Amino acid sequence: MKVFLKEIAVYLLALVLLFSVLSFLFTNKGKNFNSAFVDKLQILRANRDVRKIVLLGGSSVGFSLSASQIEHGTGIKTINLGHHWGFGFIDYLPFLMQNLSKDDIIIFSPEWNFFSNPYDYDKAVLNNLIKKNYEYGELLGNRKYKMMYFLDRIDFWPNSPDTAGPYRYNCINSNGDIISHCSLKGTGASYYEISRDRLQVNDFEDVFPFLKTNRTIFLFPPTQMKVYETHSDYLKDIERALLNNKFEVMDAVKDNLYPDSAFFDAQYHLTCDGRKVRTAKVVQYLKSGKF
Amino acid sequence: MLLLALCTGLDYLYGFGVASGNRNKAKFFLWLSIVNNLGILAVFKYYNFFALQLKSGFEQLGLNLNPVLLNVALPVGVSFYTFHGMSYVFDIYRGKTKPVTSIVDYGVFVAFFPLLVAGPIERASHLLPQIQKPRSFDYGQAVGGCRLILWGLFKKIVIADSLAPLVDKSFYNYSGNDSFTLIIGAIAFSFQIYGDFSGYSDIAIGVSKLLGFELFSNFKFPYFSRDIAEFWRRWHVSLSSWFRDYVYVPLGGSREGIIKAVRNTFIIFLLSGFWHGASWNFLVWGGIHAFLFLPLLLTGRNRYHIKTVVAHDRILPNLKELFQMATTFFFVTLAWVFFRSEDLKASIGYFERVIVNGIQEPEQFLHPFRYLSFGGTDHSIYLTIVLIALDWRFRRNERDIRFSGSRAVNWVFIMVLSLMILNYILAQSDGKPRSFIYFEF
Repeated sequence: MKVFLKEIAVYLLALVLLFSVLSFLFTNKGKNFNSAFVDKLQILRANRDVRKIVLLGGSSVGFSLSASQIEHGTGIKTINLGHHWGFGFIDYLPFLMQNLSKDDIIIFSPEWNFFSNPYDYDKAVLNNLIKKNYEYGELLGNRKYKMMYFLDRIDFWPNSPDTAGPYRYNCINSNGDIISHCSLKGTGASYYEISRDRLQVNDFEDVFPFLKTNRTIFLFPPTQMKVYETHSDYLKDIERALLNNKFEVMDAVKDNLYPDSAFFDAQYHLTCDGRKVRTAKVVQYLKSGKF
Repeated sequence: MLLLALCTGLDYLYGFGVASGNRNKAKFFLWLSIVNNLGILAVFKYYNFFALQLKSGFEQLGLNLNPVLLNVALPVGVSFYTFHGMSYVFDIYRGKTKPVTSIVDYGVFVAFFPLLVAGPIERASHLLPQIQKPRSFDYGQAVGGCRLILWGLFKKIVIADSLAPLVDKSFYNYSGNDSFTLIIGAIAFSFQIYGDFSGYSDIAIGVSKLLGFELFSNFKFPYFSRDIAEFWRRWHVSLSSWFRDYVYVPLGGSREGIIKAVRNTFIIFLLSGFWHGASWNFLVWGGIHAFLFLPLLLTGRNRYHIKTVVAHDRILPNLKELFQMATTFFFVTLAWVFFRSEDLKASIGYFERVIVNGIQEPEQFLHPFRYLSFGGTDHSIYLTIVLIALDWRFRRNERDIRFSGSRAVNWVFIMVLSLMILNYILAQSDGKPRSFIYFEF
């Protein structure tokens, strides 16, 4: 038994050593599109004590709202935190709350799936964010994430990083807006199917604590006309549910419909021209009220 | 848990009844055990299927029937522990074992944790005596167990799980795939289910060896079989031998004339299909194997290749053996399409798409190696080739997973396997391997 246990110990030690060496030598820790989200969180932290407007959502916010335009229009520091729906909100919500002051304004534009599942996220996307970016775990003060960074797979043949497309690391401006697509020609959006699961809007206040602490303006994501035609009843239900909960909603779903030509490459991703038009409405709304 | 406890308690008691010495009483308790175990399977596994068949039958007659359907999950391992219980009572009835006095020993036999959820299906006469006798640590057994666990993890995590996306892509959207993709998908499923299930069995056998138990082998390199009969002596051996010993032989086997032999063959293959689940797909899968077995039975060639594995005294197979293995694999893979598809309609649609698209776009077959140039998940094809090569090397003894006679080379082999397993676990999107396919049965 002693010999056996000794051999198992040697085996485990050798495995850990070998894995550590190989993963040190052959792990792809190059920054990618997801890494830009960490930069956005750092912008938020750097502006912790400044009065600000925070744009919150997935890529529909990152691509289709301009924090710099809002900042220019309102004179208030504005940060775009929208990047990828797959990160979900739950993971970094405590960090967000720590870096908000009570007079900050949130413009909240969740993608359609979050209305039925506010806890939604994509494991693969979130794992990629955690495993490729030690800083993410550090910002969140999450020891498990910091450990996961070191437990990344060995990758002998990593893909070369994208440096020319919209989904590259250097994709944002100093406000956090995604700008990498502005000089590129889009492909247009293909039809997007909305899952019509049961709405969970009544739980929003429990899930998103900023709804109780900060002025939050709901904004519907940019939507293709044909998607609206197919799902108008469901989308109107969402609209009603938000109003029933007495949330501040900027406009109606039908005010967020855009022609196919306004989309860059997918549902939610407006071209930079389309984004300008959309953001102008937000600026106008903000300026029309007291803020 | 309650169901498992109930099955355990009842079969434990039936064992005493069967061993009473009175033939009629023994028969009564034997049948009670059969009815009890099959009844549990019928309720939890097959009730909804029969109820829906009845409903559809009535609808054909223009009548409307709305049977109550059970909305309960299939209890984990029910197909395995009911068969364990029946094997115990059968073995007592046939005088192969005596009833155990300790319900704890019997409980360990039925619910032995490595076997509980997906087998191998053990025999009371084989496992119970091992449970009853004191065990001591055996270095060779423990090391052999660790090697099997590692080999099983490799087959499950590195092979089966990396083939899974390719298989899912082929089967979920078969009508949108080209013929070549579907052919690759079907072949990939053959190796996915092999890696998944034989991997699980190796892990179970390995864990048992660590604890001092020797279990039956469940897989003996089935894709190196030279005919279907040999395939069934190498694939899910514990189930096929269970049906052989407790159904085929009591029904007369092949001793009572050719008609009864054919009938019995169909019975065990259809039962084997139905054991996997209440679906026409599994029945058709079993039926195909029965039809493939039939020519061998009728020509008296079903007991060829009993003693030795292919090319047992050579490094490579000869051309005849290669052809035999390829044709067996071809037919087995055809049958797997029924096993994997959602329903019968999807299975037929799958074959239809392979043929129609293959005829319409024959140029797709001019680039058979395009899959090998893929990045991402498609390196699974290279890994499958590695698996076949390693299986070929180990084929003489499924229990002895040693790459070479050299200790140093074996250590290197073990480290390479371990690193691959670890790396594939870390590459999973949620850090967890997929569930085992046979957990569903």
